[in-house]
Amino acid sequence: MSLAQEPDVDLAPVGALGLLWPAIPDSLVGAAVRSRLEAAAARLAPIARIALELRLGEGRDEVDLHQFVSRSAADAAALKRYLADGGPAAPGEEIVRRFLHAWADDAGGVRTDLDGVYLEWDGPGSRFERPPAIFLPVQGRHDRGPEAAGCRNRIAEHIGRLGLAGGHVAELLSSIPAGLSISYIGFMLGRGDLVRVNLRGVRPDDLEGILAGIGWPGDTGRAAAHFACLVGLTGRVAIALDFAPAIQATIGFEAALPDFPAGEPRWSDLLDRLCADGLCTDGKRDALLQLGARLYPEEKGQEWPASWMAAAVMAPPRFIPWFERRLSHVKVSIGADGAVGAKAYVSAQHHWSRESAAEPARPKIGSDPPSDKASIEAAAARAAEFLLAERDQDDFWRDFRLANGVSDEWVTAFVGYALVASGLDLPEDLAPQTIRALLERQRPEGGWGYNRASPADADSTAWALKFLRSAGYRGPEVERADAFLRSHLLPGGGVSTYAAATRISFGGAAGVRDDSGWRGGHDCVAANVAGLVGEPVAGHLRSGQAQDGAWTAYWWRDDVFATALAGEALAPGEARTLALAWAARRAESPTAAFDRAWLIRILALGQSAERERARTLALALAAEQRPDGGWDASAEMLFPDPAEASRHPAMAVVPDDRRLFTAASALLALARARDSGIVR
Amino acid sequence: MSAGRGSGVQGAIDFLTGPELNDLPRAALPPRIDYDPLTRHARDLGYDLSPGALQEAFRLLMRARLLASRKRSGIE
Repeated sequence: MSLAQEPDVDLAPVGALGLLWPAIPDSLVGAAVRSRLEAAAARLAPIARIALELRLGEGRDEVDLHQFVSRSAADAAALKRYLADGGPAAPGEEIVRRFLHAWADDAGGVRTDLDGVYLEWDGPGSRFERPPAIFLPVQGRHDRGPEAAGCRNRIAEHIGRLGLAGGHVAELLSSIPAGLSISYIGFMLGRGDLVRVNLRGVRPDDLEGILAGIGWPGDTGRAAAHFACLVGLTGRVAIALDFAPAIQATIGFEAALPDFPAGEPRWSDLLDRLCADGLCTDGKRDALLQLGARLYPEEKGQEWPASWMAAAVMAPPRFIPWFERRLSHVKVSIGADGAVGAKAYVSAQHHWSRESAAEPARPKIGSDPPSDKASIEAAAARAAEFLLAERDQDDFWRDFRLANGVSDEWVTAFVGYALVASGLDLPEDLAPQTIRALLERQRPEGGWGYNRASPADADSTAWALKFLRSAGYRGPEVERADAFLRSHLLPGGGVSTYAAATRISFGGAAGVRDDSGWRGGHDCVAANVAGLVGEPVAGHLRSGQAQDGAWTAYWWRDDVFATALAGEALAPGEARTLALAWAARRAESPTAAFDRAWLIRILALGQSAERERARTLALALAAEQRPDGGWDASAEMLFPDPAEASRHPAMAVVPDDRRLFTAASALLALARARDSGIVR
Repeated sequence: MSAGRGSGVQGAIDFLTGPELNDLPRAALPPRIDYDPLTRHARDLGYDLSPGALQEAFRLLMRARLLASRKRSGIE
């Protein structure tokens, strides 16, 4: 359900504060500041998507108020009612009113072109209150090359037409190197001509050069050290640069993490570090780690603002509201004089639908490819671009959310392997950077794990080895990894995910429970390992193949992935023939992108009928690619209880929510389709 | 003012799903979590509703929507 379909009703932002306050102790927002914020929120447009900007240092109680206005027709209608009721603009507010009118009316297509606008008030309700800042999105993460240039030109035209800033902004935008991605541009209307530019995706190694290039007067080495620390803790850190028109003294680093702290241990690591550096009090850290929640009105005892209640009842029955409060991101500011400070951003938003919003359509660049092969090649290239844009700034890819956090080592090994094995032209530094990142995480025993907090396992290590070998790395770490992998072989050639000697603990907490299930033989892991060690694992696979031709996965909801890996690892023969027959039957049923990709991989190994089926699947896979180069998430990993020895339908399913595992699988399939000659 | 139009959770459901909700004055819908103005307005219309009854009625209405939605999508 898209934002465009949301009900056209007023939703008081003060209601969002009412649902936020129970999770906010006085140490984070004092009583006097709450009153000021409520008074300020009561003056905002009736759109209940707000955020608080909180100072984390001792004795710092100033709080700024933000509001997000989406591109939806409902928000535009609410804005129009608000502006019609508002009377004349206060001194200094004229430009804001003019902008909001333009946004509501979609003047010049500003609302059509941009996904939304953030309004940010410094110290609202205080005597220092000033007009808000207006932040507009510039480039998407996946906008590169001509698309990125088009985004910059488009936003510059809107800025000029709306009178938000003078012509120097167009010059500023064009002066930012094309290789950098500008996420937002902000106009600090209460601070003269100050313009903020937010950059995403900068690697720590590149920061000093960027700061020196724009003439930042501070200690670039010290700033780079702070930045590298934040990137190491969170993977994704935006850089906020202020210009007026020269670069200003204070720069900011904004670190964001997906999910609530309860499901993302890196939040705790980040805030602990800020406390250790004296940038955050322990009390504020504890409050921030606790406040995340989704509130549902159908749950017993859940309060709901009366005005929201009436709006929900009058909305069409398909709308079932909910509310989310969460720690959004943390910002560390560094002055040219060396002063450092930290803030946290806490969002509080009303939502109308339990379904995720559809991604706005973006225009296609260029015309359709002329042939099947060109179509496959173009899809593979877009998949690679998608994966490159999704890499975090510490050179890891991250995907899947478990209670133990997001996977980086296993996912990075897999995605890195897919990219290197795809045969596509990749950035020169990509493989060396990924090798370095993974080698820095290699455990003393020689393997890699799901992530830093998890013990090393055979599957992650097998993918890391496949990546290192494909990338041509020959260092001694490969031998150590190979030895670690072989320590997981079981009598008879099976492979356990975790060896008997491995201490299964997460984040330092030792397990005392039965974990025999995770230490048993798993054919999905054996199928992966067989491609590296051959016998005796291949023999185990031949003898353990199911009668229908598949291999039963332990860690995956479907057997396609395991069967494809086994089929690829085994020499042509009866087992592979049976697997091909199974895949051909399986391909008769509808499949999602991840399973389809692995069906292509195995069917491409067959004879003409199977290869024709693989061709059809590959073209369908290419046709289903999203405009950003990825596919819908469909790699369904299972998270069994450690004691469970075999798969069953009630096991928890964990999809690749960032869509990287699916995209990397699709890339491998498209590369196989291209190279095996099944498309011309 | 009419009298005896309903009380308790059922009365609150009748009120929340009745036609008068479209014409609620703004004062009956404070932005904060405060049900008193709404219950006062409901009393003017002949309902005898407590804040707890209103809250529970709303919960049940949203729960019914959720169950219907899940049934449509085959989840339950």
